[in-house]
Amino acid sequence: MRTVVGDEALDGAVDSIVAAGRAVALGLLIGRLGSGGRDFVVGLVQTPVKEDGGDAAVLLSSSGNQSRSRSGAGSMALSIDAEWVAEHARQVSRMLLGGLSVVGLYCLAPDSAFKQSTAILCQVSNAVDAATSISAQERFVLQISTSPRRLACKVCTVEPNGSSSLKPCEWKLAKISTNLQSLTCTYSFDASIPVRSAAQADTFKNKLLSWTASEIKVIQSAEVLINNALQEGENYSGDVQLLLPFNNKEVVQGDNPAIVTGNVNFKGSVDARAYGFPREPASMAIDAIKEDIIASLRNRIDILCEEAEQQSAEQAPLSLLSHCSQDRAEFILPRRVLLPWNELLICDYLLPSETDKEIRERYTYLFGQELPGDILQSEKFFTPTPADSKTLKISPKGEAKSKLVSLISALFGILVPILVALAVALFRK
Amino acid sequence: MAPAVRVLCDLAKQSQENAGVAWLIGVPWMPWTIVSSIRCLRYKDGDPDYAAEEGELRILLPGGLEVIGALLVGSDAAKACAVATKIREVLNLVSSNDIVAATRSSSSDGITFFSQALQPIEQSSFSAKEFWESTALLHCQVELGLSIYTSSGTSSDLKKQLDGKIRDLAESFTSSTTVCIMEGSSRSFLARSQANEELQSVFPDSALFDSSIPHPLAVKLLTQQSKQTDEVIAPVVHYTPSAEGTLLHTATVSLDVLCLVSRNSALHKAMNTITRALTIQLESIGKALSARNTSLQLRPYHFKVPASVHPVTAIFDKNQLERDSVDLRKALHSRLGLPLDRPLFRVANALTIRGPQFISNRIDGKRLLDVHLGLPRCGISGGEVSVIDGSYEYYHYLQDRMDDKGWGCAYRSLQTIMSWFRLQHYTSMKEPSHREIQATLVEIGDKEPSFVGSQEWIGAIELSFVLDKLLGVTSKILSVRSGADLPEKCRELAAHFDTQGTPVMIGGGVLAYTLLGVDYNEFTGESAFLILDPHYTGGEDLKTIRSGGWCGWKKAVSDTGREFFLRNKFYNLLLPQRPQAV
Repeated sequence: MRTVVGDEALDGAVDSIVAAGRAVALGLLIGRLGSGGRDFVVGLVQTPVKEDGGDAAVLLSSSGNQSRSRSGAGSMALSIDAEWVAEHARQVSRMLLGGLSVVGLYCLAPDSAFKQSTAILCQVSNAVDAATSISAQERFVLQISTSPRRLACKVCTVEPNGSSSLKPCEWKLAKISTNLQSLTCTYSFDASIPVRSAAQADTFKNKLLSWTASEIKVIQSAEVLINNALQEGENYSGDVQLLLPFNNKEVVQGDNPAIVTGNVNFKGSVDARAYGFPREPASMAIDAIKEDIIASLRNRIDILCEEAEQQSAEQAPLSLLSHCSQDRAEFILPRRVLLPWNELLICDYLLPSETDKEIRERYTYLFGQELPGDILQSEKFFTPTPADSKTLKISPKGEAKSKLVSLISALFGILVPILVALAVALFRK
Repeated sequence: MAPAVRVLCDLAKQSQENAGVAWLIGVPWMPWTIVSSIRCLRYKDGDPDYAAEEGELRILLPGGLEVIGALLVGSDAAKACAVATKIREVLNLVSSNDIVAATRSSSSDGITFFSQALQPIEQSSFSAKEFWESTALLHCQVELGLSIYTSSGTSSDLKKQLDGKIRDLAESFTSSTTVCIMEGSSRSFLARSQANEELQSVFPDSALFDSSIPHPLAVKLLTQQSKQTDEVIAPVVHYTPSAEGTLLHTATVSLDVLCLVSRNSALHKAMNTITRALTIQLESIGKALSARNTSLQLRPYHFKVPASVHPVTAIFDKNQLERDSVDLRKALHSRLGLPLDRPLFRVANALTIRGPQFISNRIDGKRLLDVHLGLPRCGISGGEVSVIDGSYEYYHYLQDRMDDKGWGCAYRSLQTIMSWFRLQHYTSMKEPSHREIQATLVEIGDKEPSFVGSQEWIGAIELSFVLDKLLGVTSKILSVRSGADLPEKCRELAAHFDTQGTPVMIGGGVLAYTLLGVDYNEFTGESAFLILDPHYTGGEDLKTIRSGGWCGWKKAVSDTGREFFLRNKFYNLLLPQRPQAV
C-alpha cells in the first residue's frame, strides 16, 4: 500500500478546517507526487468561492436538496463543480516553485457522503490532474470525515481502460517543510531567432514557444555545478550553475542561405528555484530546478498572451499573438516575485502595469489567506537605456492611455486657475 | 656531459630519400625524446617552405606535440639546427635550448645526433609503453554553428563576417565563462582556463587500446550559462525587421582534437592545450571555408598508423569522393614514410572515439575473426615465423546454411581471402556466395553456363580469375609437382607474408586450404605451415576450432614422420598481391 507523508503542520490545518463548522469544504493538496518514489503533502489550499457566490462543493440529500447540516440522515452525496476546482488548480500550480505541484484535493464531509461520492471525487481528481502541466494519471484525495472524525488518504488512478478508482493509502506525518533543501539558479540567455520569409506568418508566441522547446533539451542535458563544484554531497542547498555545450546552435534546416524578414531577440535572466526532499539524491532536485526554468519561461509567455486575448484590437494592436510583420516591436515579459507561504516560497508574475497591490489581492483570493510577509523582488524589469528609447514603440497596456491622462491633468492644471481667476473677476464685478 | 637522445620511431625508414629534411617531433615535458618524425614535403629554393609546412604541421600533429629538431640527409648538424630553429619560430614555439639535430648521409642508414651546441650525443632505448606511462591522451569534440547575415549578398561581406566570427569564436575558447569537464573512466574533473587549479595527477591508468595507445580522456567544452549577478533582468522580446534582401547564411564547423599532456599536468594547463588545439583547427577550417565555400563539410579524422607512436589528424571534406582526396592521402603517406600500397588514411580506417573509449573498427558479424591469433608456435627450433598482416573472417563448410561439404573448400578459402581485402578497406564489397563465384567464372568465359548451381571444384587458377574480376587484385601462382616440394617454397612464402601479408590459398589434389603463415628454419630446412582449414563443419567455437586443429601449425613432417602434404599430388598456391592503392 502506498504511503503518503504529510507535513506535521497539516494536523493543525485539518483541525481548523473541521473547527470552522461547515458541512463541506474542498481544497487542493500541495506536495510532490513520487511516481515510484515517495509522495509528500506539504500544505492545503482552500478552493475559493465561485463567481456566483456558491461553494465549489455542496452536499446533496437523496432528494436532491442541498443540505447544510453535518448530521444528515440517509444517503447524501457530494456535488462538486469539477471545472472550477480544476481552474483553481491550474492557477495555483503556476505559482508553485520547482519540486512542488498540486498533488490532489482534500474534502471535508460526513463519512456517509464519502461512500456515495467515489465517482464525483474521481472525476474532480482527474480534472485536477489534467489541469496541471504534467499529467500523471493519478492524484490523491484526502477525505476528512466529520462524523466519525477520521482522516483517510486515497489515490485515484486512471486505469489503462479509462476507468478510475479510489484506493486506500497509508497516511503518515513527518517534519517536511523545515527539512527541504532549496536550490536557486539565475539562468541567463540571449537568443537570436531569425524569421525566415517562409515563416513570416508565424506569431511571436509560436516563435518563442518553439525556441523554448529547443532550449528545454539543452537545459536538460546541461551539466550542473552546485556551489561551484561538480560533486553532490548529502547537503546540496545553494546556487546552481548550468553548463551548456559550447556555442550550441541548432542545425538549421531549409535553404542556406535563407531570406530573412526579421529577427526576434529574446534575452534576459530568470530567477529559478526548486525544493529537494529529504534523503533523496541531488539529481532529483536538479531536474526540478531545470523544469522550473522552463515552466517560468512558458508561464510568462502564457500570461502575456492571456492578457492580450482579453483586450480588444484597438487597445493592444501589437501583442505576442501578432504575426512577425514589418514593424518593430518590444514586449516586456512579466517578472517573477516570490511570496511566503507555509514556511516555503511560492511565486507570482507581475505585469509591467501591475503593482504589489494586485499581487496581494491574487494571493488572498487563490490561497485563502493574507500575505504573511514581504514580497521578495528577485527580478527587475528591463529599463531601456536612453539610446534604446527611440526604438521603443509599444509596451503592453496603454502607456499611451496614461500619457493622455497626464496631458489632460496638465491642461486641467492650467485651465482651472484661469477659470477660477475669471470667475473671481466676474464675481467681483 | 651530453644527455642521451631517445628515439621511438624508425628514423632510418622514414628518411629514405636521398636528400631532404625530416622534422623530429617530441613533447616539452620529455626533452631529448624523439617521439616521431614527419618528412618535410614543401620546399622553396632548396630550403623548406616554412610557411606552407607550418600550416600542414599544425593540422597533422595532435596538441602538445612540438618540433624538437630536424634530420637532414646529406647536410651537416649546423644546418639541421638552423632549420629546426626556424620552423619553431614560424610555429610560434618558445625558443629552446634542447634542439636535437640529426644527420644522415645519403649513402648509409646510420643517423648521428647532435645537441644544439653541435656536440654529438648518444642514442638510448625507449619504448612506447614507457612513453605512455607519463603521457595521457585527451580528446575533445565541439560542434560550432555560425550564423551570418548579409544584405543583398556581396560575397566579400560574407567573407569578412565569416573571418570575424571565426576570430570571435577562437577568443571565446579562452573566455572566463568557458569551462572544461574531463571524464575519465571513473571520475570527472572541472577545469577553468583562468583559474589556478591545484596540481594533481588526475589521469587514471587506462588500458592500452589495441596494445598501442591509451584510451583518451574525454573533454567536454562548456559555457557557464548562469551566474550570480547583482541584477536579474526579466526577459524581454525585441523584434527588428530586416532590410530588403537580407540573407542568413549558416555553417557548421566540426572540431575534433586529440592532445597529449603530461600525466602530471595541472588541470588548467591541460585545458589550455585543448583550447589552443581547438583554435588551430578552427582557424584552418575557417580559412578553407572563407576561401572556397561555406557549405564545405570539413571534418577532422584521427588515424593510428604503425609508423608513429601517437595518432595523427587529417581534415577531409565529407562530401568529397574518396578518389578525389587521393592526393591528400598520398601526401600523408609520404610525410610518415608509409608504403603506398595500403589504404591507411581512408576515412573508414579512422579511429572511432566514443566518450573515453576507442571503438575498434572491426566488424563483428557471426563469423570468427583472426582465429590464429594467440596460437603457440609449434616448435621449429631456430625457425623464423612470417604470418599475414591484418584481419580476416573464417569461412568454412556449412556456413550460411550452404551445404558445400565435399566440394566447397576452395570457395570457402576464396571467401576468407576476400574478407581480408574488405577488412583492410581495399573494398567494401561483401564476400560472394558460391553461386556468385560460379557466375563470375561464367561471365568471364572460363566456364560454361551449366557451371552455375553445380558442385564442381575450383582451383587456384579459378580463384585468381575471380579476384581479378571482382576486386581488381592480381595474384601470383606458385606450382609444385609434389607435396614434398612445398617446404622448398617456404622462403618465397615467408617473403610473401613479410611484404604482401595476404592470406594464401593452397590447392592440391582434392583439398584446398588457406595458408596464414610459415615457420621456417632456413638452415635445417624444417618447416611448419599455419593452416586455416575450410573443411570444418562445426559451429563458431574458437576452442573447438583450435583444439580440433582446424586452425593450427602443421609441420611439413610431423614428429611421427607423417607428411602433411601429399607426395603424389601437385599443388598450386595462390598468392594475392596488394593493389597499389591508398
